[in-house]
Amino acid sequence: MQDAKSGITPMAGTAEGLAANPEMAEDFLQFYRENLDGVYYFLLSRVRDAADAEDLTSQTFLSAYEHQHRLRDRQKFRAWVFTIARNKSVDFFRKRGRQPQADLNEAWFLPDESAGLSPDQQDRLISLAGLVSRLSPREQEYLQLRLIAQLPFAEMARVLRKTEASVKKTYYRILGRLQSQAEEI
Amino acid sequence: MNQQTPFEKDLLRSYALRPMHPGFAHRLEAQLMDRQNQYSARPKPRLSVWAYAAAALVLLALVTLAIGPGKVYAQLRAIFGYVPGAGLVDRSLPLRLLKEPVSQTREGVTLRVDEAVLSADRTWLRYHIFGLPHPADAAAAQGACTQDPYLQLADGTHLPGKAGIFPPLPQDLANASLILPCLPGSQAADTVPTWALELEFIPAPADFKVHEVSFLAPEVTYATPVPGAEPNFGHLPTTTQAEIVLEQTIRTDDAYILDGLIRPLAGETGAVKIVSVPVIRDQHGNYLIFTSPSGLRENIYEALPDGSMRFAFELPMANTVFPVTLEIPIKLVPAGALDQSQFPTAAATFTWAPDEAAQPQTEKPELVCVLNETLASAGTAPKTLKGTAYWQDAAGILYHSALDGSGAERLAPGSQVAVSVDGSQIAWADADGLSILSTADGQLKNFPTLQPMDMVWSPDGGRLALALDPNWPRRVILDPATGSQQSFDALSQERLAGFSADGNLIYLLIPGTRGDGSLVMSFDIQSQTYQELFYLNHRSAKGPKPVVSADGNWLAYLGTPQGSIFIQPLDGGKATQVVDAPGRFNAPSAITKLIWTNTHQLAFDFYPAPQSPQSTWLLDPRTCALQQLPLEGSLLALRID
Repeated sequence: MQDAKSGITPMAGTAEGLAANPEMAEDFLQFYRENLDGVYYFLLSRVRDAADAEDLTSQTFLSAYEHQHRLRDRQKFRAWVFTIARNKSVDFFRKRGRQPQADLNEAWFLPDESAGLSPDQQDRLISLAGLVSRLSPREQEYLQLRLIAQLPFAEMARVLRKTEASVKKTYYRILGRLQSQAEEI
Repeated sequence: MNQQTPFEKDLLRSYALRPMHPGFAHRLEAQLMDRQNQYSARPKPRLSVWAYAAAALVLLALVTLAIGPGKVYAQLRAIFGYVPGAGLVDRSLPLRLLKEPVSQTREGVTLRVDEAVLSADRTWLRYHIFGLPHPADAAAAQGACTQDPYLQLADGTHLPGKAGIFPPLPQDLANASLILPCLPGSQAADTVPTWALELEFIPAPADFKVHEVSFLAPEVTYATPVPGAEPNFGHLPTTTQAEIVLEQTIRTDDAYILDGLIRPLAGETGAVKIVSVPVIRDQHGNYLIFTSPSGLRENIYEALPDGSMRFAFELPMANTVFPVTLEIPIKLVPAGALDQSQFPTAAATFTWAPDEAAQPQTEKPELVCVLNETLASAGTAPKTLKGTAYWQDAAGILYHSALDGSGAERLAPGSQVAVSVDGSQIAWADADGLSILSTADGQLKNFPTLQPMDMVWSPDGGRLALALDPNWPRRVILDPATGSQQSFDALSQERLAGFSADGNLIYLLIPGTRGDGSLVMSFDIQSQTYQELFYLNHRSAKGPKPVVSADGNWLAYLGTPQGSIFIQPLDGGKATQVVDAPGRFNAPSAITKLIWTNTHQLAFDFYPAPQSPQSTWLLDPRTCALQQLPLEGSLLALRID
């Protein structure tokens, strides 16, 4: 039986057990392929450095692979992996002695040749990034999980350890505040 | 996927997240598969490239302790040398090279190894893949091949590598095989035969060029943020200064490489951020165009765990009057700071000159065609000037119209338009992919699997070169008549500039903010070989937007400062500035589009500013004749009858 949300088959046992069951390992790889983008860009939005994001993404999936037998409820697999990713980034910031933040670094906004944005579009996006950077780290997490990781509210609630209703309410409150600030730009 | 409002989409774009490196997904998947294999087979551990690097560092530390730090720099200089592409190489053992390029072709796909440098600390290979077909579902194919290449020795040993870097080979070994279980961007290994190339190595000849590296005793200068602008963050520690340490310099045939780092003062816990493009000027105040040294490091900047930021700049030697002054805009972000944007920007500034007496002299600047004053006095194009303009309105709809904007007809909602030199083919990108209209018979063809980011026509209008999804490591040459596609390697997010007059070469530009800098290269379609041509001088840091003229002889590009245009002969001759109209009060500022017309004129437009509405201009660089075109919308292509 396969969980339609996580795309992974419920399993038990240890990582060593995976070797004995190639289908289970393949399920994990399938989950990895479907969720790599979400995890990577979620981490990149937090650490703002491609090499660091790659490193943390690797740690996240390898850790999930090693410890998946600890998760009893397979319905929560994706939220669990994002919780690992979030914890890895918190450890990362702790070691570096700084808080996660939207990094308003102008170098990020040098237009890519392929971006195809007009200068006024770029200016607007830079202004929006400035507004996001002024949010608290917790508020930024709501945006990262919803916009970048593309998690539904139910899974965001698991990662943030809140109720789904509370997460939804907070997210739309943040969004509304940003929108009104953006109109004043 | 969650449904998103337009505002949420804008928020998502504001993160400006760069695409994931295409090789990363493959590497990590291979790691996961390896992890599974380890549980079933538990092979003996093998040394990775990084293990060798760690060993080299330990050796370095031991050498330092043994002979004292004062002598270390001289010893290092003797050991390490710089080879463009290969980077810093350990010369404690004789260097070896590839005896000759080798290649293998299967079903139209070619794997070719062009170059190798074998040193005591690594084996570096430069190899390319040509002719891989572009699949209908690129995303699916990208996830297919996950295995890294490796070198296989005669005794069966496997030495895995990444990005062309492999562990060192024993000095007495003259042969090895390069094995690619599958090709990046193609099918997985279990569905295709393994690629294997036999490599033979020979001692490097005596004249093999290895550039000397000058390891410098640490010399520290300081950068201080703009005073008075720092916010009060209460209990948070505040980093107030940073150290600039120039660690090594390298002299190549035509450039100097400066390699160093900027770090918080000792005892501080903050991090240094380079927040904008550094400005480098020579003694006369002329801007220098710097590039990233090939092979020295993957990126021009590198954030280190201790909060330092490494940099490496390659500065041209020609026409530079030393000393040069480097101003690197940085922010010093304290540990625990919640809002980086509140911190002032500091200019990390230092001056450097090579330890050489003779310095080349700067040539006198030449007169340019267009200045701000010229724009103010130029007239509007006469009604007798006929042609077709292709442009996009504010709502993202493509139109074509007469040169005065009259008779506008809607093409489609989309972006990107390319018109063949003879006007017989019009290509554009829209929601359905690539559309090509043949003006002779009105036939419209659609290629839904091709979503071009960049495209240029061959001179005869028979082929269209396309840059597709930036994550897809291939470029495509499309024959619209037959629909056949030929792919070739992408190098480093290069921009397609145009074809040569005979249609045999495609000119490419490696962008300036990463990789090998603003390097112009040609790709020979027949032999599938790349050739490095020249670096662009004075190119715009934000995007030179290079375009090749219809006769294939000239390259035009946006320059620095903004509002300038240069043209350069593609035979490598000297670049000439034809427009110098930087932003001033009541004057246009940034140029957003640059186009060669079929009549060898340059069309360009200025981004509108409060004091200067959008304006589109037509310049003949041969006569400096300048006319304004009364067009609205964003110009995309232009053809003169």
